[in-house]
Amino acid sequence: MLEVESVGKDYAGVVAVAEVSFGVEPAESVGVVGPNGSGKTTLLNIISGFARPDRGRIVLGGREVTGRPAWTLSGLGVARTFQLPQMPARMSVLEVVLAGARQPVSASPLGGLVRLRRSRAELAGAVERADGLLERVGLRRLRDDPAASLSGGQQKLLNLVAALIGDPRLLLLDEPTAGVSPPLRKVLVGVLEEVRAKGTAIVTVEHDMAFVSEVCERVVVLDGGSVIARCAPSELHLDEQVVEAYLGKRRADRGTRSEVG
Amino acid sequence: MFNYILDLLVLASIFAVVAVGLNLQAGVSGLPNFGIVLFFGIGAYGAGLATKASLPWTVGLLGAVLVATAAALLLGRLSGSLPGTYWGIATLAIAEAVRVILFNQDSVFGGAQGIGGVSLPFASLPERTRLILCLLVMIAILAVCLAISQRLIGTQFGRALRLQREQPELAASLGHDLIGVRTAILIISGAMAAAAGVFYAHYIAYTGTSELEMATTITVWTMVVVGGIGNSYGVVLGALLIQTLYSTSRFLGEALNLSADRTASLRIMLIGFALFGFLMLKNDGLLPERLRKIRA
Repeated sequence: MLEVESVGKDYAGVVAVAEVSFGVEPAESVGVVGPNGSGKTTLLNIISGFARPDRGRIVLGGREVTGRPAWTLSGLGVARTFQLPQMPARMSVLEVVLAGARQPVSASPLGGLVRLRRSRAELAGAVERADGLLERVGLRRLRDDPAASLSGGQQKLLNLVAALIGDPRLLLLDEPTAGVSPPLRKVLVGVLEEVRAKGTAIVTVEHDMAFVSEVCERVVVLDGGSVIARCAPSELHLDEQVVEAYLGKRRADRGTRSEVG
Repeated sequence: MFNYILDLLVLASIFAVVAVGLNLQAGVSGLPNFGIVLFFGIGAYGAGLATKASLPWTVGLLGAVLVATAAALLLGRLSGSLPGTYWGIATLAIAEAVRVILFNQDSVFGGAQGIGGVSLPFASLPERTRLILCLLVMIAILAVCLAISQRLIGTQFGRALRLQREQPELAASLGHDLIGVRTAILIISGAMAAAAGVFYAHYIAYTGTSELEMATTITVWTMVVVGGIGNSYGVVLGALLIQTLYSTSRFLGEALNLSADRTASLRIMLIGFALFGFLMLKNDGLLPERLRKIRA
């Protein structure tokens, strides 16, 4: 469903991503890990259309989409969340979720002005779905509050819900657990399981290895913009190069650490 | 006196239409257009040029809307490469450049003289009836623009505009074409301001560059800020208040025994104070934008 083929990007002569290739199948969950500065977020930005790669191709469902803008990719079923989403102060929680729902008629100015009945029907359907999703992540009672008034962890869940209401085929998560409290983290794991059950592929950039073990079947390890290992999450601590990339050259501190980097 | 009040209300509704348009850009979409007068001027010159070519006013209106659309396409494209404030500076520069060209180009645009003899609407009727009819027409146009504005803000298109105003990346990630929605709202609001410009030129029977000065842009901005940026009804209230301040400052000038020149400067000063005062003390205006509650 997603093929990342020899993708690379430089920023002002500095290599951010050297050459990365990997693929993701429907309903599969892949983790992208690596120390800070290893190119994880840049890679996510390239796949989601927020950065243009200097080399390589992105193929989505058999169709090359390299360099397409984020909104085009969103229309093709790619959704993403941000590491530190900033929510608007002058829109409610519910409105942010609705902004993610597909409402083709009322998204066009003419349709919204003229086709009143269709617009209203679209909105009613979207509100119902939004309420269900907000309920699922425990934000329903805050639906009419300004989105910016939520806590950092709640804003991340709101970002996830807004991304999910469009029924993506591919979901890209940028450090979904950072700043999220343990109870919300549990909700997050549950929601991701449901999403996968519906056939959505997930790519997660993450530092929290316990979380990666919980939600990912496969891990791609980056260091210095290149892939240094591909393995199951349980094998991460066995790979000499991975341990070195994270902890430097010294005896591995066997697998018990949950937060690294 | 009654005619004077009618005149004030006609002018207030003309500028209220421009203010509703500016609010769709600056308030709803976060596009700080410091050259909104460009669209107004396109309308005024559309009326002037149609008069000069002995064409009906509808041709002037149609031409003005087409040119305004072209300008909106250009500014929309520009919003993709220039972030926020830089875009605002570019709009200011473009509007000024156009004004200077119009001011210096004699053969087509009439240069500093402008274009006189733009047909007065309802010219054959007695003055009071004429003013009342002008006011009714203008209120109808304002009502249509206000309804379009109010309706659009609440649609998915409006949500895309309001989300990209504060969080463009989030909006793009949720599938909203940033350049597309900005260009669309610039076309809609630009057409409103251009229509107001057409009507204005007919109302004062003249097209010239004096209304295309920066001062007009600042006056319309003041209407938006005082009324409540982001709130369509607020900016109409702001337009009424600021136009009243503008028109009645004449009496203040008379009371203070000021010359016409000084009275004109006094007006601009008063508007400047109003803008500054509100920015400092109540920058969300008299009727602030509120969160939209969604029923169902």
